[in-house]
Amino acid sequence: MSSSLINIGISGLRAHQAALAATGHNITNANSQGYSRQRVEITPQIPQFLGSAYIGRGAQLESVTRVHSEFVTNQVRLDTAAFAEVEDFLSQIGQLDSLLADELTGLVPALQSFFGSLQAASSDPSSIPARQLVLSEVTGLTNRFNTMYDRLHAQQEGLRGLIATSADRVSELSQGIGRLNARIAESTGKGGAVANDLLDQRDELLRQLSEIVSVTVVAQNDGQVNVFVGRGQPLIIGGQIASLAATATGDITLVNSFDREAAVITESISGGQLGGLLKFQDGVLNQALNHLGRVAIAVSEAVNAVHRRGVTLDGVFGGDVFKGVNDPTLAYQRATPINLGGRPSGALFVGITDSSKLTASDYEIRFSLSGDGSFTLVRLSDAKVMTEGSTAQGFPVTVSGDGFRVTIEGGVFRGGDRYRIQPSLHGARDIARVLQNPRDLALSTPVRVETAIGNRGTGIAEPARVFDIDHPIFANRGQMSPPLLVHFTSATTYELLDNSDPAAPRSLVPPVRNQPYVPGIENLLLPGGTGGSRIAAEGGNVGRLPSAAQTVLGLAKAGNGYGSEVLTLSRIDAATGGVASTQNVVIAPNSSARQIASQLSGLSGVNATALTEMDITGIRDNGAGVPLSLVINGTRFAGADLSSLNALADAINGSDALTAAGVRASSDGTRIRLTSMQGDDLVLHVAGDTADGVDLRDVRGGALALNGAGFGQSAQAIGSVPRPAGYDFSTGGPYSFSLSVDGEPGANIALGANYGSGPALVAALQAAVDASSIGPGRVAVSMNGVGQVVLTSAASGSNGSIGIANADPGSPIALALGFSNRVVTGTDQNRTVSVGGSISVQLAANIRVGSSANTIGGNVFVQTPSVSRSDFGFQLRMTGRPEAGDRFAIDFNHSGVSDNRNALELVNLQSERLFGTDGTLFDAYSDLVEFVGSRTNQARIDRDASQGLLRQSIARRESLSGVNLDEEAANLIRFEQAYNASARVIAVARDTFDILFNLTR
Amino acid sequence: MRISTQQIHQQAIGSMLDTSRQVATTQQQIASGRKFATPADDPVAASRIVGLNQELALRSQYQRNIQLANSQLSFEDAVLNQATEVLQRVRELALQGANGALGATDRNFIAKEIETRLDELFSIMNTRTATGEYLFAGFKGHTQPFVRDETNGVVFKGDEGQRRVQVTSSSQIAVNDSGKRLFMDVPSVATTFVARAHPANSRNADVTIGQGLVVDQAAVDAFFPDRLLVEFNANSADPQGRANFTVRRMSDGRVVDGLSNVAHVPGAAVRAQGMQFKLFGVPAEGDRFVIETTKTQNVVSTVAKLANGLANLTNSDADLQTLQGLIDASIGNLDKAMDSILTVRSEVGARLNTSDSSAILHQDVEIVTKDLLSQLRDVDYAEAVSRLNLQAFVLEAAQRSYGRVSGLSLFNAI
Repeated sequence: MSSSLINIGISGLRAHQAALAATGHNITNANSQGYSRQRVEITPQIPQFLGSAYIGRGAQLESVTRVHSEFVTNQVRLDTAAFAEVEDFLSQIGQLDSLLADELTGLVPALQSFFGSLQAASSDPSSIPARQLVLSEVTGLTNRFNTMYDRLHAQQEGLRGLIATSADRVSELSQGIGRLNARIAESTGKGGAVANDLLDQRDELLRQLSEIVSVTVVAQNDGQVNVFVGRGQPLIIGGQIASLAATATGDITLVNSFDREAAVITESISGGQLGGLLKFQDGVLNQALNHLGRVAIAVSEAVNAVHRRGVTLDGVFGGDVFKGVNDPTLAYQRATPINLGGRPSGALFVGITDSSKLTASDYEIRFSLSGDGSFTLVRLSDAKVMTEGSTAQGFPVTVSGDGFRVTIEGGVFRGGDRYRIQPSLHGARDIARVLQNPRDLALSTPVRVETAIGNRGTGIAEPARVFDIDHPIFANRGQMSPPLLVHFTSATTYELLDNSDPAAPRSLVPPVRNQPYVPGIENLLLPGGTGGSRIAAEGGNVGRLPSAAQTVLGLAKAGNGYGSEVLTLSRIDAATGGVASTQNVVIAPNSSARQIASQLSGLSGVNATALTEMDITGIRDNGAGVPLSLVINGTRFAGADLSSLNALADAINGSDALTAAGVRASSDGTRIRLTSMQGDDLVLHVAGDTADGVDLRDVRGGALALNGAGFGQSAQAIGSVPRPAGYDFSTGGPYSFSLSVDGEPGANIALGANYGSGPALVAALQAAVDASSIGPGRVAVSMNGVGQVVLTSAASGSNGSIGIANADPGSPIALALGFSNRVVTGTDQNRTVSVGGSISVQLAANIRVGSSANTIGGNVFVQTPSVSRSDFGFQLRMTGRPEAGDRFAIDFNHSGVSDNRNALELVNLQSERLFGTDGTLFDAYSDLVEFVGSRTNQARIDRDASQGLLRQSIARRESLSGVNLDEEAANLIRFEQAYNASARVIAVARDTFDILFNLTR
Repeated sequence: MRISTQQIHQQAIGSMLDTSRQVATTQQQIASGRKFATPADDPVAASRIVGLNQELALRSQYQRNIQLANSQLSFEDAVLNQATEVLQRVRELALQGANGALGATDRNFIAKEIETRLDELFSIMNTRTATGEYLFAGFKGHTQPFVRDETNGVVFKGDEGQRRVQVTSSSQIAVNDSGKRLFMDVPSVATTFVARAHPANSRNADVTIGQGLVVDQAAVDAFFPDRLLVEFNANSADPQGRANFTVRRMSDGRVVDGLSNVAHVPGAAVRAQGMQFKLFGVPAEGDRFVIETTKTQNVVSTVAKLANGLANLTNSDADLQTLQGLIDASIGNLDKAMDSILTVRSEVGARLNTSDSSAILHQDVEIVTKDLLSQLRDVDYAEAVSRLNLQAFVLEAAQRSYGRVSGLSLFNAI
């Protein structure tokens, strides 16, 4: 009995000794990281049944448990990962933020000084010191860009180091966790007791791991845990431990333990220090570098573009101020292979095409896993597939992104290969000044306009924009070839001439004529933009005189000999270069150049002008027989008008009808240049003896002697006025005239009705003639092709005549029929020739014209017309009201040292929206400041929030598992007392034993 | 709720750290006078500040430009004023010369003074600015714009360029005027002409053309605006193998007044379409001269012709009549020359007004911008100091209470 009491006392001693030990363990570990307080479970031993009752057998140590909640531990891990992520992100972005904070070290002052120096130079463009200052400020600007790049780059290098260290630390911790896993599994095996401190240690390691990267922990039955990173990538599976490694590009690879294969898992990493660093690297630092690079590229490109259009102090075009953004050394560096694993990289040329469209994102070329050579260009900021391409058809292959172009020039590409494309990453590093000599700063513009001293109008022409200095017109250094002359042919039309010889400006090839000018508003005189083209009608029939045999006898309008032709207008798709649509224009035979031009001008993107020219090189009249007469486009010239070429030219220019029809003549005494400004056919009728006539020459050099045909069999009288407005002879009528026809009796003819139409009039006149003393069948009345009334006598012979007399000058007979008092001899066996005009066509960009003409030199257009650029590489602006004959000479701006127009263009770049909707250079930079600032600000809020959460979950853990020294002190007292009491039980047991022992003694 | 010992300490330290960070931030704001230290403190304001600073820099640049434009324009105005005074004096002299009572000697004295004035005018026309550029040369600032020519009177070597200075983001004002417009293209009372050699003329030959005079005003008026081209033909075209030329009108190449293959006699007067001019020197085949009719006359010719007339005409009736006509024409042309200068001066005045009003605009905007900048950037001291007091008080309270709490332990009692 007492032995059992002793045993009971001893069990109490044992149990409370263990409890005291546990309390001591708790007290000493009060400040241990990750320690969970332990509690001793003391339970009664199994009681002994003594027939009538169960007798207790004392206490026993049931277990030592740690006070711990898996849920709380997990929460701490999650919050730790979240907090570590924002904390590290914040510490990194904070550095960047303070770099951009200083107004004095930012980009703005450097840009301001640069533009300020340009302003100063624009005020005094010929001053070398002012120019030198610009160069110094260019250097200042590039240095500022470089310095900022260096500092960001240094941070990037540091970041890469940190990422590598973190990855290593993950591997180390994983090893530690793996080892603990093994020990825990081992110890758990022994009778179900768990090694609390090992669990605490493992939890602490897992917590430390989540400080570096967010992990998922899955417990196993044997006490081990499996750990996954990212989106379920296994880090620890039992004893299999993978490791993380960082690449040179700052990517993270997971090397698994089975086959040591490395997979890039950068995108799936989140949480913890590593998550924060990667988020900063890809989401902020690269973007900041891209942003800064974009500004640098835009400055370089914009300044260079404007500068190249300008002219230096030495009268030549400016070169680059900044190193060209598409310098090959730079372009190849913009593509980096990611996962080639030591294979040689392919050659990828990344050229900037439009700096305003560059984004702050990185891109990737990803080859399809199928290995068929197809690939996609992906924008990483939103994972958008920009374009697709394939190298299956061979190299080079070009695809376009946002403002850049990737040309894959060659190399070996396997399925799954990835190349990082960073168009603007190094922009701020690579910006450099290449312009060395201040004289080479191009502050003036290449075009000068000189107003002719004799101008009568108020027109003022000035050069507007030079948009293409590579135009052939600027091919000769410091010259314009050819110099141009704007010549106003009327107040509203002008032509553009080659002014190489100011004494004799000549037509351009193809010519530019009949251009419209609208007085009173600002006109652009030259075709704008590049890409347009100009073609001319080059076919063999254009402007050609027929052979003598082909001239037409009579007054009918001879055709100009232009055949029927189908012109095919193709619109080219600018993107693919293929034909997007075609359109046919059918030209009817014998169409005048004016008709063809108006047919063509009706099509969108086409503007055609026409002009007809021919020369009259001689007038021949033998003075005998039938006098020479000449009808030019319906107007008749005879007598003194034909005395000399000069007289004829003056008569033509004096004719109101021809002036209104746009037919002009210019004679230098040896030839008349006859011009139809609108491109109507020039139709000449010649009447006279067979020896009389005019000598004609066409613009192609072909000559024709157009002679009269002598008398015909009949004498003819032709009314000189065609197509009267009306045929009313009733008002104030009847009207009469007397007719005397050779070989016929004289007759009086009267007309007095309203005839209504030409045929009715002809019929009435015929009836009147037939009814007169002449009698029927002797004089035929008809109307010719140009609407003139013709009287033809039946008398044959070489000198027949028809006399018309007594026609009242104001009567309808004189006015409508054109019959006045005169004698008409039989001169009217005309020979007719008709000459067509030339057409010059301006085509908008991406329009081509082909012709159905298949015989070379046979028609209006040739099958494939030769194309020349329609633009001149620059533009002219003109205001005011010019008058006919006004001239403006356009030439290269020689010795224009005080010209500051290009400097002003350069200055304007500071307020120009170089980034489109993103605004100016300054806007782009302040966007960067705001971007980093707002991200930092956001990170601070996130940090505070996640810190709060972490503190809460730590508090919960501490509240559950933490050691409270006061509590332990109380426990110490409690267990000590119980221990003492248990000792007392033993003493009592001994006492009872002693009592019994003494009794027996 | 149960609290562990570690928790008690951590919480106290955590809250003290937070409070002292706030105190430090406020202190920094007060010390720097700025609301924030880095853009992160107020990203939107930071970005606006970049913009506003840029705006201020631009405005001050424009103000510098305006100052420069003002000084150049004032200089030009002064020079033009001087030119007007010279012309005014020449006009007075012309009127004196018209006095029929004067003898040839008296007129000679007047002519002498006019010539002196002409020299003065000439130097005014070739004025250089402080930076060494010729004021009236257009863009050819390093080329002397007006060059005297033995035969031609004056030749303009500049161009019509007008330099502009940016005074606001959207407007520029011109700071110079071309001498061509001011002194060359002066509208004349009657149609005159200008003769010049073709730039492609052979260098070896030294043929030149004299400025000549109008001999038949009606014929010249009728001929205007056509031009004449004088071209030297091959010597073989002359029966005696002499140098010979043909005069044509440029509009159509027609030979005028029968002047075909005229034998060249250096210095002999050639008359065509009412114009008389002289060709000097030895020509080569293909040498050409262009004679342009114009309704303008340069001011130097006007003054030189007047001086010439006053110096050379005698007191014969015919000469006196010519003189009267010359003086009438000269006064008319001088008035037009002064008009031409006055027009430009009024433009200069208008430009000065524009630049002044732009300057006022810039100043106004500058004040508003600076005010806005201050609102965005500068700290409100009253608010910041009271905030600092509160934060310091909280920190002190936290420290004191920590001292008390940390001393409590059951172990002290056992």
